[in-house]
Amino acid sequence: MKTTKLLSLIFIGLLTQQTFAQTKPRPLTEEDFYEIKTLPIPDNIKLEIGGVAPMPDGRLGVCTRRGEVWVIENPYQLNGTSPSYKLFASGLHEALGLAYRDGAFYCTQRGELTKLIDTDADGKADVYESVANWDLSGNYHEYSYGPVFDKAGDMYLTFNVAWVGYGEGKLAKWRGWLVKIKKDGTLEPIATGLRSPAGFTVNSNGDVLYGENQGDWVGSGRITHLEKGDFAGNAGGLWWTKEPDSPLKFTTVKDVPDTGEPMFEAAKKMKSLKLPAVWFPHALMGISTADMIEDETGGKFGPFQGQYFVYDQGQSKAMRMTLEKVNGKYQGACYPFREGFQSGTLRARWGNDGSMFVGQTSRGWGATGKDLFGLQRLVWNGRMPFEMKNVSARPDGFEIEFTMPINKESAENLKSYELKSFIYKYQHQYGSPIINQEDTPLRGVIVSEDRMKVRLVLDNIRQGYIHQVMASGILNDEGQPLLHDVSYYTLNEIPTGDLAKVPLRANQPAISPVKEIKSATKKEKIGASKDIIVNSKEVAVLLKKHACLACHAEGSKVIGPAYTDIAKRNYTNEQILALVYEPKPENWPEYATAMAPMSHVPKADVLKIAAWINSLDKKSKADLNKIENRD
Amino acid sequence: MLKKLLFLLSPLSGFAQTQIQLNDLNAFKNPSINWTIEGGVTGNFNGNALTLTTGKGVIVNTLRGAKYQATDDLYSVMEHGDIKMSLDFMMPKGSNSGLYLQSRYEIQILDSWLKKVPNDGDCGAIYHRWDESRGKGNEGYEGHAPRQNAVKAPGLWNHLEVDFKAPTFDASGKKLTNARFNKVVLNGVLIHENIELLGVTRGAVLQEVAKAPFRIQGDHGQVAFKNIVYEVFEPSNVTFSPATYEYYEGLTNGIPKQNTPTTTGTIAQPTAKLATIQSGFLIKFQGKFNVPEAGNYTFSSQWNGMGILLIDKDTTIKGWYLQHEEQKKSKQLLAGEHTYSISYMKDFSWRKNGLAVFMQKQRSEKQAITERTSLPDPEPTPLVEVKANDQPVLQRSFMMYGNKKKTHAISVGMPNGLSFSYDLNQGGFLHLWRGKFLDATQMWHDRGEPQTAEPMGTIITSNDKFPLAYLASAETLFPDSLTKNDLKYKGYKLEKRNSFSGEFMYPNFMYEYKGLKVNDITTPLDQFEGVNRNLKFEGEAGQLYALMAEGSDIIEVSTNRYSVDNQNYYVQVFPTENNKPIVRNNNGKKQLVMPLNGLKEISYHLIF
Repeated sequence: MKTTKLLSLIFIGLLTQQTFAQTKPRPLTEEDFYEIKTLPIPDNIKLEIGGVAPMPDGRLGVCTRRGEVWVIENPYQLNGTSPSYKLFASGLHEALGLAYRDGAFYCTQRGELTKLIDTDADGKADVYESVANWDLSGNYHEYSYGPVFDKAGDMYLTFNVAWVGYGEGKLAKWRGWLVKIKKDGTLEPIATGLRSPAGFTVNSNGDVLYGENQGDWVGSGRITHLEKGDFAGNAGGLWWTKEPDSPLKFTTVKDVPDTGEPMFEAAKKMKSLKLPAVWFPHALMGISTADMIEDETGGKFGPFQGQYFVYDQGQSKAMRMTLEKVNGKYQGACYPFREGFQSGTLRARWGNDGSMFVGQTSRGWGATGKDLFGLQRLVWNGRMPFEMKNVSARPDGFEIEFTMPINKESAENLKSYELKSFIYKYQHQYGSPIINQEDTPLRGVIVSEDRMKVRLVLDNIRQGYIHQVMASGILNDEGQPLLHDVSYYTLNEIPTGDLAKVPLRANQPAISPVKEIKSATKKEKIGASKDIIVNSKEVAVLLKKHACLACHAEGSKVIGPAYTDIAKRNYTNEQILALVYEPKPENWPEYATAMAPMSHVPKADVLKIAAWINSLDKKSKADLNKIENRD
Repeated sequence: MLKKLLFLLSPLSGFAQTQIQLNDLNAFKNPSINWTIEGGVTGNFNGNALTLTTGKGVIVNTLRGAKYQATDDLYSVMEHGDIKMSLDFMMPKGSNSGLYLQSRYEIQILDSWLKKVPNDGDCGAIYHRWDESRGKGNEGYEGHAPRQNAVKAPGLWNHLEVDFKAPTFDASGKKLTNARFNKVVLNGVLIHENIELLGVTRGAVLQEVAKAPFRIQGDHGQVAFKNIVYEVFEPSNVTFSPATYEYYEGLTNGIPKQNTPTTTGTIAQPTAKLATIQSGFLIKFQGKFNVPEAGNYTFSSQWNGMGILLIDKDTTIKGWYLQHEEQKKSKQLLAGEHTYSISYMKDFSWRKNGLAVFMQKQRSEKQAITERTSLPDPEPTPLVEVKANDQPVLQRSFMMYGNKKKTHAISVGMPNGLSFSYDLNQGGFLHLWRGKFLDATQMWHDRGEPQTAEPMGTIITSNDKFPLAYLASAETLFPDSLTKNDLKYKGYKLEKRNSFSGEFMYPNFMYEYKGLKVNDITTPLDQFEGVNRNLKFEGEAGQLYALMAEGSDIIEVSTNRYSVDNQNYYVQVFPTENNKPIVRNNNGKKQLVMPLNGLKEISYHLIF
């Protein structure tokens, strides 16, 4: 019965698209729920924000990569009024973190945690107290982040490894580590394996979560819960396990299983290796994990209390993350949330009114947002977005909780879902392709009584893998689809408990759209690639589907080069295929971010894309000897 | 910046420099009695005369004759056209001299120390021209003030580097190109670049020539010179006849699709500008050149794409390159006519069309075979400058100190153009300088991979050491560096100091040295002639010593005033009854130290 109804609906849609379009509600966008407010910045200030610190009196402190600390009065721009900027401190070295506590600012410079105090109450710091300082080798990649206070008043900091063609920690002590600076200034090393830990937080349980950027030893962006003695994966910092105060026993890079197998396999062989709580699949979610922040607004920011917002510097956007504890360990899912910020979204902190300040910079780092720097506020306007509020693990699959009741028929239709799983390599090389991708066919769904939840029962639940949970077909009572239809759950542990009672549906060959992907991976008969007929519309779909557009655009530089610029390199379609599967960042030295290998994308799709790229600027290849002139 | 400039001015390898041996006056024509060879000179920043020590190596104008006699000017025996020259000079207070390239184009030498805004008569200026017919008060014209005042205090050595291009003339003597200062660098500061001179400066013979001696003004005031080094360049007289070209649009695998060129013709010089598209073209140029003199010639190329240079049908340079990848190849050429052929092919559009081919005879300037605009200019990097303010400006950065990268450096730019950089880890000065404050380009342009900032003025380099140490005796070696256990950096306070025209906030650096609490504050002297460093210490001072200067030599030039490190800067000390300064040896260097027993603070001045 229900199938018939839906099918007829589809048929009507196909036959009379116009009619269908007229009856369809206006598609809602992120903007309809979360509004971005831009703070004006005076002309002469380069507000390349490295840290944001809202103050209890309604002012806002920000620190910049040019070493300034600005105190902004009236940053909420109440009733349409303007903010006012005052220079509180200056001369710091690439300040990438700021906190305000008990009347003073704490700022992390490259080589020092500095307490900035205004003793004569003129609105300018006159004491620059060195709370702690540490060694640097002078490598530009030795960025230092923090401080984040814990409840006891101690401070956490994270230290990038140097970049010398790979992440190297040994050039200066504690590079690649999470450290705690106690109130008396002493430094306690906590955990290592950090590569480029630009964002981290201490959550309401007092646990440290940190975000990692794709790179060597890091197949994709991810968030890891760090406890004392953990090794988060990048070998650069292991050098300092030789120190007597290292919480890890002496470990060298040789002890790390550098095999290219998934990280959860490597972790079976290396006890200290800590698995991420949530993977943020590269390009499918973000490309450079930055700040994160827990929703403790009590509903002022919407329906996501207790969840996390995670920023991506390169894609100028916010994502969302939910965590649960399974077998005593954090794991969970990530979801798209809000795009469209003006520059590279590095830092986020709650304002006093439950809105979020987002500090931004992109100089030398590249970002989708076109501005070199910026300061914006993300505000919930009180309307309820239709979202997957929470995806959690079950012994036989997942449960999706929604923010509002769902249309039961759409939810019970298995075609509404697209499920698959995959993982990344753990290896010393930069990045990783997606590997071991498999379908996770849906056996059945159970919609809860109140229509707020759906239980998904899977046939192929895979421990250790990232599970894509896509629910494009689900509608709410207004007939609207989800604002974001995808999430990625990192299933390190499978919870125990009762299995769902769904009838076993044998042989449903056609229902899973995953099949389509699979058929595409089968070797299609394609002739020599030059014969591929370019179908721009089809390619547009492929570019979106495989997240190519996260970093590339047809005619303009985004994170990576424009397709028209790639066309000018005169690669053959096969060369493009090879480069997509195994990128060579050295070919594009002027780009800050290396491309991840995309070998999970079916060859036929890449060749179609390649043919389209080459159609943008047809060029011929050089033959050196034939132009030589000896006349 | 300093390093870069020195590099730019340093001679190409294989090109010999000549140093004028100042053992006698033989390098000069009929020097007047004003000029003598001496072993050394010393001066004082408030002294009107230099003090001489006998020996060799320094040429001094003592001005023992009458003033203002043109016959006292010193002329070199050698005659030069294009020249790169460097020398050191020293003046007493108020003195005046000048270096005239080709006896005609003067770089002013004058004690204009402390002058805030220099004009075209101050030290380092390209002196103005003079024409009385312009009417009284307007006679001087076309002078060039230095970009900033880079001269040091009287009695200290200044270092001057000049890259000069002589005027050129045709066979009839008609001037073809003007004289030009390619670069003038005073005390490491670039003060002129590519300034063309339309005629001779004041006080020179009017007639311009291809070659002439250099001249040093010798009748206005005392002045000393040493380390006079030069390298001369002969004009390259290779002549080129117009080239023929074939231009093909549309390529398949690098070969023209059509056998017949799209256009052909003759052109004065080969140029990439012939291509009207960015990609998919080939141009072949063929031309002849005449070499008047046999010798070794270096051909060099810069191009974007594929190029082939044939000299006399011999493949000389060939390959796919981008324009920053300069290629070089030397060839022996006989005198007479030679042929060249240049093929330039480009099949991509992500770099601009660019083609440049040069040839260079040893000890000559490069000559372009291709047209000047054929090669696009490289992407310019904008200067990111931190400017000094009406209040002290502080900026942390990485900073080069010799070949070491200091990671915890801070630079302090004080009002009126005095600045210093300081190693916060060691509590020691790195550099002190006068002039513009800080070039932060390498830190703030793009992601700033070097992360360094560079002083922009006339710098003196200090010893980077914490200035206090507990020593067993006055002979004990001073520690080179201190560990974090011995020296703890605590931060700095910005403290008000009343001086000259108001209240200023200066950083007071705070340390704990082996239990001793130390405050270190540096402020400018009232006339800005240097800085006052004040060190306060709380705790046991019994065996405590202060290190006030270190260098290759330390000379007492007047009571309690020393010139340091080859007369690079002055130190003024203030002894007490029981605490007297000592000049001593420390690991091959001289040190000025003072015992601090019984004291709670010490101050000294650095003047430069």
